[in-house]
Amino acid sequence: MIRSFLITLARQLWRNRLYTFLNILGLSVCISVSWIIFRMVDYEYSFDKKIPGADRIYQVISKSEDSDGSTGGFSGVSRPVVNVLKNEIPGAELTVPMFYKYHHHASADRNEQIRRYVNGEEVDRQLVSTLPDYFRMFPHTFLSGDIKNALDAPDKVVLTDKAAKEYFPSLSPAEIIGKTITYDDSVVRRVSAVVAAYDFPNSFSEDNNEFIPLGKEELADGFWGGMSSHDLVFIKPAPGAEVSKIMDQVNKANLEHNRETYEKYKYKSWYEVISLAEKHFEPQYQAQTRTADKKVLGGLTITAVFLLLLACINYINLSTAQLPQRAREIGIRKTLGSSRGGMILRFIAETMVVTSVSVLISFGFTAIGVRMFADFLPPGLLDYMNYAGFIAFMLGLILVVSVISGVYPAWLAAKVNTVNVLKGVTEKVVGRDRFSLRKGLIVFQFLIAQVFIIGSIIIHEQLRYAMDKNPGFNKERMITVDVPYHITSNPVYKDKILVLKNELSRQTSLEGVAVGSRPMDNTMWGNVLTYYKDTLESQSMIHMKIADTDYLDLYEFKLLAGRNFMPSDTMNEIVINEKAVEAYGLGSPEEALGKILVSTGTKSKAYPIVGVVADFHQFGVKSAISPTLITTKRIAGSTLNIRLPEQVNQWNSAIKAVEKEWQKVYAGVPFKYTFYDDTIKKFYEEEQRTQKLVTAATSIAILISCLGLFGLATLTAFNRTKEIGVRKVLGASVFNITRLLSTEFLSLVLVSVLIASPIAWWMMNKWLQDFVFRIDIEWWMFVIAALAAALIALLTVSYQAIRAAIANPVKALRSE
Amino acid sequence: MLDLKGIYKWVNTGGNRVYLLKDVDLTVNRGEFISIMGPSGSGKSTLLNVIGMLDDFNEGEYTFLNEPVHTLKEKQRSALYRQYIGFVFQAYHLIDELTVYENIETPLLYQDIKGSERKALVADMLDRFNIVGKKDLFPAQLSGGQQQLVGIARALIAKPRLLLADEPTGNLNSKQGEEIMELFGRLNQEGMTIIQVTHSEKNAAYGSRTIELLDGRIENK
Repeated sequence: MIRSFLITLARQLWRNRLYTFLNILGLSVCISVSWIIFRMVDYEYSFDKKIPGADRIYQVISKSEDSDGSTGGFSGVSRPVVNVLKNEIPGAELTVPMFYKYHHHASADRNEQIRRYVNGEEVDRQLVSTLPDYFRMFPHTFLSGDIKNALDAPDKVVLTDKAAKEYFPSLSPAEIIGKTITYDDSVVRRVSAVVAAYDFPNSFSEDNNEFIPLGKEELADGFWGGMSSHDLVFIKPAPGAEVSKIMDQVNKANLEHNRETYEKYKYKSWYEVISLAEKHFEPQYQAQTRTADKKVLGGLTITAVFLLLLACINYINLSTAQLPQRAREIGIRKTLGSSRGGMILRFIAETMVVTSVSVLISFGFTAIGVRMFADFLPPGLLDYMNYAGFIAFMLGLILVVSVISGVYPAWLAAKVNTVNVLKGVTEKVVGRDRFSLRKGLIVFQFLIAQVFIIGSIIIHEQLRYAMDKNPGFNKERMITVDVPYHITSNPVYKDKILVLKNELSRQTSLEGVAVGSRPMDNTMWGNVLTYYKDTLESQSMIHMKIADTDYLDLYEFKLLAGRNFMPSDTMNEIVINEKAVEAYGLGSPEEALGKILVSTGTKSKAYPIVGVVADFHQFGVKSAISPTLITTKRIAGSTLNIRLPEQVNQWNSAIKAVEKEWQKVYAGVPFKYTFYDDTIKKFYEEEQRTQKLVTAATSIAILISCLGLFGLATLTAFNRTKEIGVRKVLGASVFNITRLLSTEFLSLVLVSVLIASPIAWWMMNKWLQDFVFRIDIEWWMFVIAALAAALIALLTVSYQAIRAAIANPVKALRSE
Repeated sequence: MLDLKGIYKWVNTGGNRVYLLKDVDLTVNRGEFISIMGPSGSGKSTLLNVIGMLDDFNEGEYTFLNEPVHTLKEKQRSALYRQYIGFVFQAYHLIDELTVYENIETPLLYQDIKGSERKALVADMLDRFNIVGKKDLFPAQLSGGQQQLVGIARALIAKPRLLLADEPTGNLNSKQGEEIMELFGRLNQEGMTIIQVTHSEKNAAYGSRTIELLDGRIENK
């Protein structure tokens, strides 16, 4: 029975290979996408879940509320909290501080400096100072050494096997014990233990690879007045203890020490906890480890569900389209004694076989997809394999897809009218009412595709606008070069940036050079300054840019009033933008000249305004333009701003020349430059990822919809063979017939466009709200999207339409 | 009116050449009413399709109203039959989705005739066949005889010179069939040239001449 079923099915699929191909293609593409998305979601939700007792571990975080009611959250805590939890109040079974320390480089016995790189950028080596309880809260396998002696002396260090490999690539964990590591050529530590790093997704193995003991003085620290994001605390309440009660006690202690400050500055701050299960989704409370966004995961899940739905619809469309051709087989099977139930089972089994084949093929697509979208996938995903989840997902998918897409065709097949079939009246076998359902499905498919098309057009336009919008200064041909922090802070290189700048200023191949912070990038430095006028005072937060005197000229800021600031060793004269004039209520740019801004509260510094420039962007089009001042001091930061010559072909030699000078001043320090356009692109990384994703989803949605439309066109052409034949005999031309068939489908697309446009408008309007400066959604975007959909639909149906139109009518009209 | 000379039509099946029409010579004069008879598979319908230019032939010459059909391009040929030939089928071949009125109107749509003129022509035709009351019905709502009436009306709407009918009464009962044949007789008397394919001697008797076809060959002349 099963054998004969499979053989007939194989023949059946082969005979209708076009449909089979379309079906399997659509299904496997969608299954691949949903599989990749499932893996991502599963991976992100698996973070920290395998840590023993994870459900009882909490991170202590701080919250604050300003006098104006704005609230904020922060990962850092004041250090005395550790002592309170550990020694002063009951309830916490384990209290684990993680205070991070940084060294620029380290060297093992081999005496070679070991540096740490993240995405090609040099970063400091990160050490976590903690208590032995760390290894009780987060149990690790000790490959050598033991928990008792691991952190019992100030000069000890525990390494994970990952870190051990960096320092001592050829030694076994046992051999490493007692070896020394020298940090920044000054601090020497002995390795006391090597632990195995976690091999499952977790929030700690990025940051915590070198553990050092928490110093006594750090534990005894009594400074309640501040907190740092480098100081994290985790607790595990004793069984039966309520974490909220523990936090109440902590907050009581906090209030005791800080009440005065809170009252004086009219704000308050308190402590709360987040559970380990939430930690991976709380970017606010992260240390260095990447966090995930539940909203993004939710959006992806919805996308996957929709794509799967599209594929099921496709299957329904294509398989009901085949029913008239299969009616004879169905009718004969029924006369031979097949029951309705048997018929339905047969069709669902068919669907299941097709779905299973699609699943197999989707492995190939998945492999390609994973490569194409590598930058979307969270790092570590590909190493993470959840076999049980995988099998459950695939089996569930096969079952759900088979039922959704198999039931309707099966039901139709069961309803086939045997008498008509055997009389040869195949046209009436599948009635006309079913047509409207199929049309509805096509409209739905195109509706989704249309929303995606409009979405990608609008995202594209907004990003183009973001990149091309005049930021208020001339960014063309600008490159910037940053001197690394460990160089500028190194006394050997003190003031060298001035030497380099002077050398570069002499280069005729460069159009200009200035030292100063970039007018627009994603760093921020500011202060609250006050303007006093008689008894009135106006206070505002103002961004500060430090630059040398060539800066305003180089970036071609538009000076509205006044002049550039004079050279000065300390910050004194300032140039402000229009927004600042407005924020302090200084009137017109001319009136602002000569006014003085004063540091709030202390009045320790006064800055006379000597110039006003036109507004310029500090943070790209997603943020409003902020009040900003530009001022100077002797060393105006660590960034060189260079304008390249006008001829593009000279850029290479110009950059080479800069590098040559750089090497004269900073011998051995890697030279890295960035085009200003790339700096701007950085603002929109997330949007560019969204764009890539939406484009991919659009292509898939279009592909699937076209498969469905093609199927429907084939069926229509088949069902209307007779009508087309009659029309041809009556004198219709090929063009007449093609138009007749195409118009019908175009009207379906038109309906979907009409429904999709307002939906897309609403969604994209919401998306655009993230941008302070944004494009208007215009009618032509919808028209282009509609034309695109119409064209795609036309191309899809025209093959079938033309084929039907040029067919010989004599064949169609043979009556017997 | 039309002249067939040495018409051959064949198909090749697995190395064998099967002749559908063999050396057919036929001249039809204006005003004739010809019945083509012969057993199943003798090539009656094929011959009718060749005359109606729906089907090609492999050898021979076909002159229709002094136009050499065998040398014409597809487009000219379809322009020719669109203008001069009307078809009536055994299975009526009405378009199910269109009403009686729209079915009759269809040929005019393909000849770029203006709306008002179309209206007048269709109204005339409905009147003439006494089916004004049925003009808004769909084919499925009509009896077989009525459907065939609509089919004939549709064939005549564009004022053809030649009416080709492939077993026009094949799907009808004898009374309906008789009515249709009487209609054909009247049309012929009004000057219409008619060629019909039929199985029935009785129907053939309405014609002015009968052609016997056997295995693609004309047996009598």
